[in-house]
Amino acid sequence: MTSQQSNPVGDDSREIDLFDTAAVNTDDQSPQILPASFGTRLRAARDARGLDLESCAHALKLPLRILRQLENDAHESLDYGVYLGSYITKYARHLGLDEDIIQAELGRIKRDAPTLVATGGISHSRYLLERYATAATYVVLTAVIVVPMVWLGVRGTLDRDMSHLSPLDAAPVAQQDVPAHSASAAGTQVARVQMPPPQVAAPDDDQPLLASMVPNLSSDNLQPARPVAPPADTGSGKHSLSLDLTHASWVEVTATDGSRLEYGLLPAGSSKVYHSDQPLEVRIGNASGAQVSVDGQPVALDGYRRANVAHFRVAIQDGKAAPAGT
Amino acid sequence: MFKKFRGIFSNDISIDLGTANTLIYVRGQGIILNEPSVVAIRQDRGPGGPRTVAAVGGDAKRMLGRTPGNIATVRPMKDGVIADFTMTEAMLQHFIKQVHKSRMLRPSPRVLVCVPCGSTQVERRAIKESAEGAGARDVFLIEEPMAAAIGAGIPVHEARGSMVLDIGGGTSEVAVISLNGIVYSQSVRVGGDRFDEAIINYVRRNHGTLIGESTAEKIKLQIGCAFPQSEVREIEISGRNLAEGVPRMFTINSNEILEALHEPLAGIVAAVKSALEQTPPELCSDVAERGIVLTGGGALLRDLDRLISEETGLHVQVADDPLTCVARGGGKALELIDQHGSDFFAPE
Repeated sequence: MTSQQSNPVGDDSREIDLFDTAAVNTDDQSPQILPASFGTRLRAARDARGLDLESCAHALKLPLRILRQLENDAHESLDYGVYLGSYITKYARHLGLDEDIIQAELGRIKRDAPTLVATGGISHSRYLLERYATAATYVVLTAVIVVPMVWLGVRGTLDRDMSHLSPLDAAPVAQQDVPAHSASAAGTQVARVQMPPPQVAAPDDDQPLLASMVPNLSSDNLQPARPVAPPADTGSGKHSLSLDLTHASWVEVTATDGSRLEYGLLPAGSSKVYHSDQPLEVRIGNASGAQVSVDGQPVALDGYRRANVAHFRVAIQDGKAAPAGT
Repeated sequence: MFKKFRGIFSNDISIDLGTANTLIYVRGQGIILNEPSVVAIRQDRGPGGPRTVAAVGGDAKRMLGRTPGNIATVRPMKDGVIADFTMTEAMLQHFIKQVHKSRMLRPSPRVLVCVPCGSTQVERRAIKESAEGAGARDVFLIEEPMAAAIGAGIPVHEARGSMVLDIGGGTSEVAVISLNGIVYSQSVRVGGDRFDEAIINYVRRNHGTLIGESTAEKIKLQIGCAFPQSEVREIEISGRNLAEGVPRMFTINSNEILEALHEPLAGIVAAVKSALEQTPPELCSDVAERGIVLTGGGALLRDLDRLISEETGLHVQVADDPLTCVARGGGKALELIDQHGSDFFAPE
């Protein structure tokens, strides 16, 4: 270190000497003088300028305690690097110290950056547990709600034993119609041949009635092996209309006086013969699954079909029955 | 699932998505990108035609105010928040690709984005979705004053109050931090852009000349000051004379700029005073002892620390390298990403 430092302030010549004589090693015999500390230089510079600590603290807007600690080199109790560096720089510049000396001091002091200490964090395993526990809760809740609903929806309708239920749209209507027209329509008789009887002849009082658009499964498919009771032959007539159903079909057979011989849904495999002396009007809902004959002569339904619904009349002329269009 | 796979080949990054500049800190590498937040859009085949990104960052900034009809330069961030979602996404995508140059796969990093403390939930969600749209696997948010304090080296974990004032391009944020949390914060929409705007208005009003944003920024950087100077500095600039309609050269000095900047600076000083009023007394005494730390590009305005010190009566210091404080702080906070639920990160 040399004494050739520039100093714009003339009064500071004493200050420079003070700094540098401390740093010079003159000769081998003289004791080695240790360089003055930065705090000492600050105090010397302040004294040289004739300033007191209070006025410096006021000018720098710093607490008096901090300036005193800087002059005593008591950096330990001061703050981290970011503040300490600023305190040193501002105070030294205020006292007019050379910039090189300031930078040297800033480089000397250990300006350690504070380490980040996180709080409120959780471990990775706990994070994963919380994250997937939430997802698992949703899956379990969904399963608990959806699976029973699907099970009830499927099992509740398909596996239900419907044998004890009587459909409203087939058997009861036929049963009610038979006595009605047998009593009112003179000379009109209805006979049933090989027709499977309804599952239950008459519903019990406590038996619920089920209205359904579903074909009578119990009679069609579910219990085909049930014993078939022979139909009662209830009347006679000169002419006969035979109806054989390979598929379930809705059938309406009406006499000219308006009485209905048949009106309702007949199951697959039904075979019926209607005897009458009057012309009949016939409607078959599923013509492709029906075979009709009049007085033993098969009737081709294709001529009377419209969109699988056959509609024709059984006319009687000259004592002969024959199908005719409507 | 595929994002996680791609994430193996990506670095965690911290983004200081600023109104003026975007800085990206890559974990383990440091700040490796510092580009202006500007996007240039080219629209071919007339209005309604396809729009493509022509340039991003510094290249786009050089086009500012000098574009033909089919190119428009956009600053997608305004007042610290997203003003144009699509452009922000495109810009982030470009920057993220830029910092993963050597990778074959499309990068899918974990991203920490610094957001203004005054941003709303909607604005934060927009920033988060924008980063996700740009390819981020996970997006974390940190408030800018907290990141700035960490980057400036302030011991935020201590039970002592520290005040930090971050002056960015769009916003200035003042916050009192203690125990890893923000005790009080205030955000004012005054920043470098408002300084430029004030200079443009001053020149138009007093010199009858219209100057552009780039010229205003140049004036601010060269002779801008926040406190009366002993030495008056001058700069010669050119602009379009409003009366004659032709370009004219004229000279403007630092005292005029000081006058021009008076209003936006008063807004920042008022925010600091308001924060000091609202700070609990114990923390206020800590701030009185420690002083205020300035960060952000605005802190580079000459003698801004002196102005705030005179106005508040407190010791004010400018942090080392204030421009990168937020990005550096975000980079340090990246180390805490694996500590899930850390209190450094801001809620959405």
